[in-house]
Amino acid sequence: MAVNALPPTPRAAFWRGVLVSLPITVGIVPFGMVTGIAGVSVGLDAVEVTLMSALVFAGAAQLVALQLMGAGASVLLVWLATLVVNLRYLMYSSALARPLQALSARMRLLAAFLMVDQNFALALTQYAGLGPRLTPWFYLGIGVLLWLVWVASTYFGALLGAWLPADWSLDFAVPLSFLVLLVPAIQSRPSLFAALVGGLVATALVGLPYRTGLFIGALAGILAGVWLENRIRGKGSYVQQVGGQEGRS
Amino acid sequence: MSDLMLWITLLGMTLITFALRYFPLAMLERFSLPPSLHQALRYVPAATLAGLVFPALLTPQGQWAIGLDNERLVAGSIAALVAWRFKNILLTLVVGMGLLWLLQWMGV
Repeated sequence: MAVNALPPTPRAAFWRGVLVSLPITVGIVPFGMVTGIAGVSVGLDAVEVTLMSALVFAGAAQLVALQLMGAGASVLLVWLATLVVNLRYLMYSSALARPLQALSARMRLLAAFLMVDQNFALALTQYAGLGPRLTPWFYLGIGVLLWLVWVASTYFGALLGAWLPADWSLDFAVPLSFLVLLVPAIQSRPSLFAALVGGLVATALVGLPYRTGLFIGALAGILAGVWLENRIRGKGSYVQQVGGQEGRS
Repeated sequence: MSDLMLWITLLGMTLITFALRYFPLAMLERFSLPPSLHQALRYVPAATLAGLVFPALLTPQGQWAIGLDNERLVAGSIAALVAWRFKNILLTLVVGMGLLWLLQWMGV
């Protein structure tokens, strides 16, 4: 099949990236639309929430920020939430340093701006086959297409959200979207424990102002996960494999 | 939120997100995360996402509501099963929203 042949040039690798990310957009469109709907439901207009998507390009962080803004949280708290939810990019970025090494300094700015879960995972898994010359362009192809789809679907969702009646409980689409992200994040006993502790602590502290409970819950959950992982690892080699598998995800 | 505060908020979010994505990439091999931080970062998605999902399902009106009369808990739990089984965002949204509407409609 032509799709499995190695792209001959960086330009072809870019289009390969666009092509492989077409099916992924099926998951991006509803998520972007939920973000657009969430934006208008907390009082942003369609252009504002679309600009947010264009500039920030990080769905989970945007949804958390919109919820906090709706709850009247301070700017610093919104920034703190953005930092916490996006901390995983530190990990992605350090892992991508080698596959994207061939890019010029200017293109590296663009590569960072377009970094999301999908092109991180695909570039890393395809690096062995594509090599240092083609991988960066493959990665950029994915990023450009997903950015365009993300911005367009946010705008479409914002138009839809402004039009749909308020008593349709559309706010429920936000936790449902988080649920779809949460499920694959749970893949070992420590990460299940982290989710249970994080979720229950945040729920118990839901009365605290500006959703401060979310941060305390997240911290408690992270500590719980690390604690259980270390405890299990101390007990034998079997679980060391589980820990290793999780590290690769 | 005023227009000025909105733009300050968005600008800050943009810079924070970009910095996290850019600096390890720009510093190449000179940058590597300490192992303990790396380990902790792996639990950030599970802990924070659960912290967003659980209160929305368990305390829809601000108080604990564990029971079949909590429509969001019922719809959300079934949507969680769908998300786990099919890993499909659109299907999860359709099932979750559809069930919530159905339960609200039956409850009235």
